[in-house]
Amino acid sequence: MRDLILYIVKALVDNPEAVDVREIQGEKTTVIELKVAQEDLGKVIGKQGRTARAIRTILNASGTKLGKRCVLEILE
Amino acid sequence: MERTIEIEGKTLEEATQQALQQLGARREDVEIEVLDDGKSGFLGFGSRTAKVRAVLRAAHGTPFQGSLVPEAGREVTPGKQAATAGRTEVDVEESIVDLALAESFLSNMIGKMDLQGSVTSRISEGQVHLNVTGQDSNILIGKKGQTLDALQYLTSLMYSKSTRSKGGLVVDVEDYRNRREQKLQFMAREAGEKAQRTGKPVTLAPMSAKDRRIIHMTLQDDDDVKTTSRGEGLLKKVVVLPRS
Repeated sequence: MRDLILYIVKALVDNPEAVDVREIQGEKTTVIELKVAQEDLGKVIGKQGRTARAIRTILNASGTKLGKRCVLEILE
Repeated sequence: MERTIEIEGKTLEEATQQALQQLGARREDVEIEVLDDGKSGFLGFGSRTAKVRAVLRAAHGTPFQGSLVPEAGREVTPGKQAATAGRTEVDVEESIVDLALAESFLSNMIGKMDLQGSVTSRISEGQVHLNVTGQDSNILIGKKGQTLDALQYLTSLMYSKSTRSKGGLVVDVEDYRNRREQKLQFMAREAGEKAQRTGKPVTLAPMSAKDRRIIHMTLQDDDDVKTTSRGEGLLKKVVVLPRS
């Protein structure tokens, strides 16, 4: 999961070194915390949150096979 | 027979070209994985070279013969053949690299999702088309094509960021988009008939702009009904109204 988010986000931002992803395992739900450079925040969120929504959709799809739920939190 | 090489270059295109040259292979027979997409830096500071890993696989289980004769019917053929077909060599080479890049973004994403799917690409009408086949196609499509749309959106974002190309990019899984369009056209005609028969408006389920467009287009030439959208936000409903 972490790899997936890292790969997608690094390809979208101007400052890939500043991308930080943390995975917090829960019993049923995994929380993924994403940190990017301040100026890249808009890039991972997108117009009306479109990019963030797309990333979340992909995340959920990748969890369906394992029956896992994943939540993406974008930290400011 | 499988050979793997890693090549660095100033840009992704350069690295990919060099990899193909070293392997003496066609783009179709080589899997390109982007290891580092490089950075031009500022005035030469902080620049990083691009790096790709190229895996030569024998096409369809037959050993690679080192032949560079393009198969008939290929939409993208490198080198001489295409040049004689009236396109310049540079154009064709560029389009091959573009496809390689788009393909690698999508297939890497699918791989990291822990799903199975192989990606093929082609260019038609100046647009990159990526098609995915594999056992996980249902998951890759998702509810009402949601996952498919997300994959397409993210792939084209990544692609336009690294190539600065503006033309969109189409991702499809086993011809889903075509099937969906036919289903929507069928729904539209059914709603049209019902509206006409009952004389009352028929409201369809909420759908995305792209889906609504298909409904509107299907019924636009129908003299007996007209269509409008109702609601707010991303998912609006289409209402089919009887005319008169």
